[in-house]
Amino acid sequence: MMEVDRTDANLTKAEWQQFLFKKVPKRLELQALNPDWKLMPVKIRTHRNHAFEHVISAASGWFAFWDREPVVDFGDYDDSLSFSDLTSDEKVDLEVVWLDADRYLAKFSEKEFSDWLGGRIQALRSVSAAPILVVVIGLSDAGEVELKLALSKIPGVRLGEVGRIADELGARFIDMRASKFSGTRLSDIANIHIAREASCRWIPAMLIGRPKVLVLDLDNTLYQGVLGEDGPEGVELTEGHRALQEVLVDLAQQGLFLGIASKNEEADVRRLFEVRTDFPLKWEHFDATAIGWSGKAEGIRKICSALRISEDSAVFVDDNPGEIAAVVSEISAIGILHAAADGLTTRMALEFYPGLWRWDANAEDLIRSSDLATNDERAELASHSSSPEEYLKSLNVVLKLSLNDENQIQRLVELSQKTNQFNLNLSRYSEVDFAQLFKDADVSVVALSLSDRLSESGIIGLVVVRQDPFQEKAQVEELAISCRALGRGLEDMMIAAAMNLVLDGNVGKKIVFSHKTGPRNGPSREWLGKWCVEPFEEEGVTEIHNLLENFPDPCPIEIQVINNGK
Amino acid sequence: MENSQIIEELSAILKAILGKDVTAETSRENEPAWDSLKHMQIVFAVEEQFEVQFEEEEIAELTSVKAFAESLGSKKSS
Repeated sequence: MMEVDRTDANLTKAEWQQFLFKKVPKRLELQALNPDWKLMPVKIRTHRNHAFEHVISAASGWFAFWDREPVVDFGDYDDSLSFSDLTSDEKVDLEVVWLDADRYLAKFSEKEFSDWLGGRIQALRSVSAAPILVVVIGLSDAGEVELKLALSKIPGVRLGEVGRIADELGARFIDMRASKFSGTRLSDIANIHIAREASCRWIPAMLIGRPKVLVLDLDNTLYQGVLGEDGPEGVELTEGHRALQEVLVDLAQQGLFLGIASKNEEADVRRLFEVRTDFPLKWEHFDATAIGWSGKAEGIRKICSALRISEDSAVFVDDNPGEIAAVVSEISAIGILHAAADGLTTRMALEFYPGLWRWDANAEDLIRSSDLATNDERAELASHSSSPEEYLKSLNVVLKLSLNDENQIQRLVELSQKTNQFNLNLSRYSEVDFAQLFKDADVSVVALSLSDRLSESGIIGLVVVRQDPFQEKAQVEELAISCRALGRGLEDMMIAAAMNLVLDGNVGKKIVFSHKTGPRNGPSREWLGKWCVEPFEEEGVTEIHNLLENFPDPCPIEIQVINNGK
Repeated sequence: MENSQIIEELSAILKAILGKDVTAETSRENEPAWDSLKHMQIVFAVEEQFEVQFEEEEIAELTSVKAFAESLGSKKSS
């Protein structure tokens, strides 16, 4: 098979959308999709008591859409979930526990089943560090809630809830004809719906970062018609486009940035959003725009730069395949979505775009947009302040420190996985990694939260420090600060305050930082260069000096320890 | 629908699911890839494509392309 380049691959994906994101996908259409571009294998190990093959055979097109190929170790049917052959040496990307509760519920109550399964998943956790996806059919709604609660106590475990799919399909969810021949009582349509949920939502949300911005075309994407020809009153908001705009508003409210890349006059676009009060989307929903007659790739770069995010965190949505091809040829890592003439199809594609869905919204998602919007105001304040100290005092900055707080694990994972610019050792800790760090008596995990009089930034940084009781040194194994918090001149104080908390006043202790060179973590390496004792290599451990001694006195910001880990 | 057209469509379905070229002579006996798991996928895809439904007893007997074609022929003509 000859591999094609990313431009061709993205154009093929655009063609596939009609099959992948239709309301009721068809097995034959799905199984006819054969990707001819390079895919990254996702090693999946299943633990099951009914057939998973019908799910995975329908899912390859959706996996290919995010450039992955499922490589599945199916394993034998085992009601007991003994995991007898498992060793921690066999590394996989994902464990899938795939059960039909029917036989268990003939003997146990749903509560007893949940308790038993929680224990088995804990046993699996002890031999595998991979994320675990649990999917159980045959539970009542209450049983699913019970099981979710039982599993929520185990790090890195998620329950793929099928109750909604069962409700949606009604009697079509089960097909007893199938159980005699194919090892499951799920109907084919149920298998396909679960395949879509797993490969577009559950698994990407466990394995890849969420896109940060949707960059949207306007004409024939957000409405029907051409603004320059039809005028603001002439373009049509069809029912499909209304539904699309509504889902975009929801995504914006969940913390996803929205941008516009459009070949139009900016004044016309502003007027469009003023005049069309029937549009669910308002001008204020857009965090950055690139409206004009230059290339869209340039516009997308401008938008990403304004939002302080990398271009591979963007998804470009346009109805014109030519524009998509031109953008992909310049920004190969960008995600793309071809907007259909019917807005409803585009809405479906967005609802299932791999990586956009997430398990839980966190507080930072909800404040990200408003926090970023205040950066211009901060820059204005800084330009009128006589000194950095005066600037910080005028902002009423409050830095909150929290030590070893397991309640913050989701946000810490997100920071570790997604921070690129100020991420010194690129450790990319998972939920399971953090759970182990919290248990390690020699390790301190500090979460940093920031607020000022302009906005609440939430948890924006983490510092992971290991102290060997037999050595007079503290080794910082990870340091990550969100790009939202950079540019305020606070990095030194944030890191020094975290180290002060960890060292508990022992300022004489030697401090070393683990570090690694990545494609975009220059800002963190520049910071290290400012404080290190000697020139440092591409990767390794280096000592710093005078960071704590140079802590400003009086301190221009307020520092609060909200949890000292004791 | 002509029998030849049914065979042609069936062949396309089986090729998509088994990942192999098939002929009118292909059966579960002579095609190892046509196992019981694939069998149900073929049944579901045929039902979807031809807008028919097979009874449980029929499913067990649909062991070849020809058997599918005959069953579809009788369902379509009835």
